[in-house]
Amino acid sequence: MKDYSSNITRSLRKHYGITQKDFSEMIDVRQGTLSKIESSQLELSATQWISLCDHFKIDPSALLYGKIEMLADDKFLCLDNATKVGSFKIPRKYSYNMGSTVRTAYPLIKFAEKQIGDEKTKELLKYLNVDPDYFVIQSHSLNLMFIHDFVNQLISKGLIKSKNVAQILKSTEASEVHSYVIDQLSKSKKPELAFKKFTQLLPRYYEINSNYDFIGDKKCLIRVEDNEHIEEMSFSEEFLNFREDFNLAHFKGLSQFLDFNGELKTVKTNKGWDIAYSA
Amino acid sequence: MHSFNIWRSIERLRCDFDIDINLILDGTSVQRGSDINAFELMRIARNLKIDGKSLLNGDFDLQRTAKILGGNKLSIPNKYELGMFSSSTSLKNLVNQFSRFGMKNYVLNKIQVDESFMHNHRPLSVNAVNDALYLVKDFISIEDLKNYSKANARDFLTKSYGQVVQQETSKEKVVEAMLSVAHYVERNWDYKIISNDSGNYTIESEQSEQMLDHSPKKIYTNSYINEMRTYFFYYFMELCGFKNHDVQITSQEFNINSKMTFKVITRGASFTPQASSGPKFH
Repeated sequence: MKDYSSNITRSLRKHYGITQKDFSEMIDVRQGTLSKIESSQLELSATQWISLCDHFKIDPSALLYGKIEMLADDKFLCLDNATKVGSFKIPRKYSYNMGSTVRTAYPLIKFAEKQIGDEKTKELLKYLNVDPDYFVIQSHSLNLMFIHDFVNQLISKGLIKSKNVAQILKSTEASEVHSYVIDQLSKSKKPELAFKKFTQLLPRYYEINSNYDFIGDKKCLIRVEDNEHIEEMSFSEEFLNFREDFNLAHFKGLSQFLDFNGELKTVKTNKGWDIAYSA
Repeated sequence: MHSFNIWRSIERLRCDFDIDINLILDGTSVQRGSDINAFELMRIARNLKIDGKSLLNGDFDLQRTAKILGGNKLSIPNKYELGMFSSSTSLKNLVNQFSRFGMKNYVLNKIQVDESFMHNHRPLSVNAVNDALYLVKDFISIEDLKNYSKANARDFLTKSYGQVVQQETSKEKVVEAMLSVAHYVERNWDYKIISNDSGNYTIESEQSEQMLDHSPKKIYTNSYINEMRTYFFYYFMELCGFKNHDVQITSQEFNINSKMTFKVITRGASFTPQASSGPKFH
């Protein structure tokens, strides 16, 4: 278990666009001390950490996990266009039609850290011109183009192959990725009810890039089609295949918490893909 | 100075409750009596299954912590064992509603209730629910209160008291029947229904004497509590077959007690429960 206090401190300060001077006054430390804390030259004291968490209303155990789920002033996800969030600068190509969140990218980043290490993952994010600290706050907006580029980088390094997509979600725990959704679902003999609730929660919490429809007589088919704003983006064939597999892996990851032991399959369609399930 | 509080708690756990110090300090490199930094604080708090601030300030229930570390996950602080007229179901639905903010574990660690305590419907003091509500107060929206109340109404009907409620609510006068079983949900409130010839119902509720014996009156001045209870009735009726638009809440009054007036227009399909007669309150 690592100490993520410097990452969290930097990320919060940047999210709110606060200078080190103002931030140090907020949490009652000297500016020089804060600078050293942020660069991991100095450890945060227990009192400083609790004071910081009280101030920003975050769970103190974020220090152990390196992520903040949502901040108190966060709203539910909406389609965003922003070249700046606080003092985070977002490259232009990733700053439009932001219908996704860091939460969606979290398993990918954890997978990369596991495969190539923390430092090289940071280098990769910097190569894409994004600040690694941006990925601490899970509710930060992202567009699908960033995920496309990040995945393509992993594909080009041979880390993602068609057979290991499901492994990516396992590199974190599915329960961690879906914790909120799992809390809202109840086990049911009718998996469509749980899957339906899942797809209703997705747009509020993860992403609004796709639309999910339940079709067919027995409602055993979930038709996934991209929303209009995605049409403005162009993706590689490899990424589209990855996305289909990754989406399926999410449903499979979720199934285990619903006692659903049936089969899940995807079939490509013109506008997206169908997920078929049978008990 | 704050490390003093931490060490004092650790020493008490070690000496008074015979807890292995290696278990408490697992994953840290602290020397006994030394200053404790943020990371070590959180590691120790995690080992003790409490929150960091309580450990820092030394204000947590040591006895409960010792029981939890001894394997008794269902142990709760003594203060929540008095006047157990609310339930773990209510607490579960509240913390689940705020888990998207990452607050679930924080709240449970803070009030020292293990998640496994909520797996089944168990009696619990309303003070636990209220303490949890206080901890998430900066995150609350009306939508959250509605979702919480809806989940509570659903659980009440499908899991906790299905058969009892079905017997009562299958009667024609469902509002009266519903209130006659309200004490199965909790005994913190007394209810009175007034109906008039034009089909309006007014539900007046006030704190029960049993609740006043165990909970300070001031905590129920919180309008969130009253909003949650009003929505609970609203969704309860909806689940009993009144379609959403068929129940009109025409007025609400919130102070320490509450009053809700509504009109029932039509009744839809009957509710089919899935579960049992439910446990008894202690």
